[in-house]
Amino acid sequence: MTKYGMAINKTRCIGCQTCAYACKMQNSVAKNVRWNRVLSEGCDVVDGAVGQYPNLSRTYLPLACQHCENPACMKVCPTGATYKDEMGRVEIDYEKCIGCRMCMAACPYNARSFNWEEPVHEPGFAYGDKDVPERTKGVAEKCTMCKERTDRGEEPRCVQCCPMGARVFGDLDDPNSEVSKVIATRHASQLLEEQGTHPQVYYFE
Amino acid sequence: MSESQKTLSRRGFLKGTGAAAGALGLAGLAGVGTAGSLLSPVDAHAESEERTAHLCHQFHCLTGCNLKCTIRDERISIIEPSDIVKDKKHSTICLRGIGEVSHIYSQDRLQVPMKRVGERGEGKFEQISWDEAIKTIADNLKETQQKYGEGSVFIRKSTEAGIDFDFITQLLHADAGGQWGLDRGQANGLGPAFGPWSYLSNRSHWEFKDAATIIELSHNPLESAMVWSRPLMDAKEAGVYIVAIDPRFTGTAAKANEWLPVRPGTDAALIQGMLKAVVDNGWYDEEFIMAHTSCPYLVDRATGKSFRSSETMAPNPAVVSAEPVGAPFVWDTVTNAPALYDDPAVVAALEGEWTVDGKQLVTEFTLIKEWLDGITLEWAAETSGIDKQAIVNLADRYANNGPAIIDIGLGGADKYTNADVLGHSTAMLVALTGQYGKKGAGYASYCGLGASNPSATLNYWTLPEEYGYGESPVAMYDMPYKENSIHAALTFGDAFTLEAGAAQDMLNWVKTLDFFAIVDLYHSSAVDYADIVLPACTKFECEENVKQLRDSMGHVMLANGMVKPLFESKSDLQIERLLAAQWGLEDLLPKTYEELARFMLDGVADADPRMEGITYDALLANGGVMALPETGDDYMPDGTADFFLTPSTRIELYYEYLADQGHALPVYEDANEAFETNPKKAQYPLYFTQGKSRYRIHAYYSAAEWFQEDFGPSINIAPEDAEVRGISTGDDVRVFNDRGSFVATALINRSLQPGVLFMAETTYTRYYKEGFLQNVTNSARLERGYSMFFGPQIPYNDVLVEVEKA
Amino acid sequence: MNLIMKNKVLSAVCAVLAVVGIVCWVMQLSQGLSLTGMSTANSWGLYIAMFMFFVGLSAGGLIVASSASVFHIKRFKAVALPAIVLSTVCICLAGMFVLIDLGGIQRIWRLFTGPNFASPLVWDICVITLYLVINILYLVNMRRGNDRVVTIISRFALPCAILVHSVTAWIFGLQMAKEGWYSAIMAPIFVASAMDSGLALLLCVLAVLKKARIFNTSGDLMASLAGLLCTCIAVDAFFIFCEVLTMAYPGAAGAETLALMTAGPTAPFFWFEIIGGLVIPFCVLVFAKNRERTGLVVGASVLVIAGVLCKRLWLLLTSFIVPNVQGAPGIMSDGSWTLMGSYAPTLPEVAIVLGVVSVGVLGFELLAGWALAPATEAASVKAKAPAAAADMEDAAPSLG
Repeated sequence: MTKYGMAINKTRCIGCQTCAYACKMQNSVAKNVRWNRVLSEGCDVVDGAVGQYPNLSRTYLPLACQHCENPACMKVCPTGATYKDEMGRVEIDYEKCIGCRMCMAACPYNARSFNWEEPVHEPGFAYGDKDVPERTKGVAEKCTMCKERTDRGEEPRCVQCCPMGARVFGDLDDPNSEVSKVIATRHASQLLEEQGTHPQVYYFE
Repeated sequence: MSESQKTLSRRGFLKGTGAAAGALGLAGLAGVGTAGSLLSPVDAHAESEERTAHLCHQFHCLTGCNLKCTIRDERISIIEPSDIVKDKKHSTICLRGIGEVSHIYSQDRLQVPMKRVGERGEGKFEQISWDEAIKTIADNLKETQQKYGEGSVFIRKSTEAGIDFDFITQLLHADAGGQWGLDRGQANGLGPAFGPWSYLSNRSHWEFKDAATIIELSHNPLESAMVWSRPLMDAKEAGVYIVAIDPRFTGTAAKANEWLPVRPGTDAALIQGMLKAVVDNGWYDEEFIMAHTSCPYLVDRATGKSFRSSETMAPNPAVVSAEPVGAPFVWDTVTNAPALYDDPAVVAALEGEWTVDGKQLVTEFTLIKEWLDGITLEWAAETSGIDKQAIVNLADRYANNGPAIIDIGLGGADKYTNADVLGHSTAMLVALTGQYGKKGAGYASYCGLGASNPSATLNYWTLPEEYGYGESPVAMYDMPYKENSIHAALTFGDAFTLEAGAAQDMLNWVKTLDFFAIVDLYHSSAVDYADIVLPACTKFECEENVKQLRDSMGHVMLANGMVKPLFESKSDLQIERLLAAQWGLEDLLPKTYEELARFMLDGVADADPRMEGITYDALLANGGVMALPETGDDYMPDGTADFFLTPSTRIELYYEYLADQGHALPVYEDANEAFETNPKKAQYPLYFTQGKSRYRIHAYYSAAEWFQEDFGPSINIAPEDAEVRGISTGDDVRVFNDRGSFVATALINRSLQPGVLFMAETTYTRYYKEGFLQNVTNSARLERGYSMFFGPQIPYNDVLVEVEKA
Repeated sequence: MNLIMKNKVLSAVCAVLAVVGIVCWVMQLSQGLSLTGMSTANSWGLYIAMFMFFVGLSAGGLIVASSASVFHIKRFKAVALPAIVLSTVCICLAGMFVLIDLGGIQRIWRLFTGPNFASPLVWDICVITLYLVINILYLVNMRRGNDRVVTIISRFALPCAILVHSVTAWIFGLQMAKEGWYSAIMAPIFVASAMDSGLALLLCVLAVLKKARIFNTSGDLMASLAGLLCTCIAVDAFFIFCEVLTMAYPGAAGAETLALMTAGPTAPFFWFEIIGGLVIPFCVLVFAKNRERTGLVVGASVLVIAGVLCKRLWLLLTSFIVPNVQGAPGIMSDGSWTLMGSYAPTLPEVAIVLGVVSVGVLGFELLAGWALAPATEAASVKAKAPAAAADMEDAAPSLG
């Protein structure tokens, strides 16, 4: 079996948001929507700091769908629109989504966005990968782990574009894949482990 | 401003439907109001046609990534790292490259030629034809030159506009505005010591991991140049100790092992504290000093002049004056007499004082020691705000703990009047500790320029001899303050508000010009002041299939697969040709970018065998990208300390040319405005600083709607400073001083030193509620700067302000 | 008997509100849910709160009616018919709120072609449908006087009524991601508050019907029902106390949520529920004498209903305020990134809610007119419609 996953090096992540925009471009993500975003952990503003001057610190947390092994969103979806595919990715069948937003309440990571209205694109055309399906108003959407790219054997766009090489993508079921090795050797951890969702996105320092 | 333009453009569309300007241009005009209709709607992707194109991106971040663009239905739909560069480490992109998808099609693109109908600054325009626009510009420039002489016309092409050529200024013998005054403050101070271009490193930044310590001095590469930051993060992962010296808790400081929050404009005091510790504790490298520096050279104590030979000349001329100078003498301890510095038989004294023919001769090192005797660590600590022990510890770590690199920023500390003192002090610290010219050691700005990559040999298109730049008696930034003969101006890009401080002085002066035309991509701040506005196209667009030929990252890159210029915009080359035609001179210019590129490559292999096989046709066959032979992971230039472009070819620490001004040694002085004891602080207690943001390069990318979602004109203020003023995040606040004011959104951010404000460098006035940040910046000039290599620098950060709720 | 024509003013007002609501709903269908105050950070709002509220209101009726048969409480039999009518109308409204909240109602057939039985929403849809069917069967058979069938149905109706509230509770209570929801006591709390709000609404409606001489309920029975209400309030308060204590005691994540509830943006709703919805009505109804005074009983009932509405709001909204991961990708409002969620219903959203409630009032008039006709024909000749209208309005939740 293949189980796609990712490991993100927080030491190398400089919070540059390149992955956030790469994702927006690749997936034709609309105005005021992000599938991927780099957070400044514990800060009240983006690029803020934690602590008292001059003892400050700042760490970045790139966050998107965690492609959980036990996805809370999938369980609660009434129509099976959210599903776990054969590559271990959590995907959405927009044709089946009735817009009930159970998944959004269930996701502990707030990874999902909802199209409250017909998506507005700036610039006004469908930029991005031609294979990415269009979304209409009334459906939920989120990171697909670049299904269209990974199906073609390419790495996700955020991995490809990261200027720091902070992202490692691969098959978690293959112990020899780079991502498996990194997770094993660099004490990678999962976000909100206590939620029991078993994310396939790992973080390491 | 924006409203009037929208109205104009809609009307323009209705008027212009008859004179069809190409389907795309019209579609664009029709949709000015809404990005949604910027281009005709796209049907299902599947039936669309796709092609790919490659080009070299931004020069101005000093990176120049090769980008792969996917063009679908003649729209740039995907931008990604190039897959045809030779090595993976150059397959790079950052958010600015990706953001071009938004930026190219931004609503604030200039779309059609316009002429001003309101007052200057009012921003009221009317669409005109290209013919009328070009003719109006030419008529006005001709008339001005006839009336007031050739030097009465000022023309400047900003760095990014039309890289590698600037024909029209030379064809008209126009004034190009002299020194730029941008970000070479430290370079002014270190150049005489290490050579004029030594602010760029002579070794690769991929060597960062071989250092034991890296000091990021007023440099924030993790936000200003993400693509060049990879080696820094490699170093961090390899356990290199990184120190960030910056008034602000920058992205780089956040990744550093240690952050030293210096007070704005006082970095030199900290470095001098380190120098003091190094010299007092004997942490200097005597062997290096004797072999590679001017420390043993003799100086006439009475005159402050170097004691030089009148017969033997030094190998190089003086750095600043470019005049030949005599070879310096040292004190030979064998003969007990002065001797030429490079005489192999001589055993030179490092310290001492002797009398020869009534002259008191003293070594430079003795003078340095005497100068340092007058400095205390307490003073350094008090001035810079950095704890005394921290200064000593850093000096110890730097001098005694293996190879160390000082990586300086271009900007930051350069934007204070005393930046040359910092450059000079740091040059001295590096020279005395010998942290230069060996693996893992160095001192420069490790940016995209310099030695990190091999560079190509290209031909440069030259004009016949009779054409060239006119005299520039007054630098552009001084024009509002110094008498000058300029009566008309043409700028490619927004020179007036970006390349000068105190915008109100500058713009008031611009208003007095007889004529001002601007060529720009976006509705930048200066556009509103122009009489004629011409829309240029981005580097992704061209009338032909190819565009610029560039040398970047060890590759020759030919932009190809362009989309047609959007709206009614034109490429720089065609705009210059249209202008030149008004003087009948267009035949002196290349007809096309293809002709220019072919010329640049023609026969270069004869001069440089490394260029063998890199021809125009070969480039096109290779997607427009070909690597130089040395390019690759193992390219590591072996920059040494054996030769410098100084008169004696060694590091020269005593600045004879500044002796009369009391700065032969880096004597500390306060910045012009930004210093603790400035009485002005009573009225304007806050330091106002600006710097690079990842979302922009200077003002560029301001118009990208994607970035606007995240980042607008906001002023970062420390919680302490906000609290006493009753300011909360999101409030509109007025920032003001005697020079002017502006209104921006407050953002309370604790990653700031209390008492210091920070704002990302300027953006277009249209995005502010009122004014813009350049209204408060400083236009003071350092008098001795006029005698320096890069001239006086614009002290953008040497600014005190007060903030209140608007 | 045509109650709609008898209460012309009330009916007209409701009809206008219903039309306005429908227009707003059509606007919402065409523009999308951006017409509401919901955002990706606060992805459920007033509609879902009203859904919970009306599921609860529906309970009281069916539980009272079916208890009459199941536990042979003969006295309750007298009010079984209006109770069932009320229950039927309320559950229909609850269903309407779920449908209105859907972003892609045109794809709702997917629920039937490919239901995911792991989803509590699917359970809820099944149970609500079953519940509605039982209500209708109950109503039809009761009106026909088919006592034997009624007794059988009531055996299913009581557990079904309890189940419908439990399943609604599980939509929230099984969501581990939301600290304020994830609790085993969520279902008992829902049942308890369904009992008290449903009973309170029944008492109000009975009082109105009595005053309007449409349907007479004896003072004894009213007092007895009020006594039951008092017990339910006590049970509800006890459950809430258990929950709050469990949240507060460890001083961990739950305490943070509690702090938001008691001192954050949803605190006014919390405190109104505790004081106005539980303490005051309990103190009033705990005294037998007070239970005999219709005015006090109705007053206490209105407080209970308003309190439960507040509870729905704080229960739902508090958990959206602070996300588990601060500033997560889905959180954005007003065209700029925010780190926290915020929510306020928009005018069209409120209009849609009022419209649905108005449809409910009209529906009640219609259904009650049909169901109660034989029993009340003589008495209702001089019915005072305006009085009924005023009281019905009180019972209808208002967000003013």
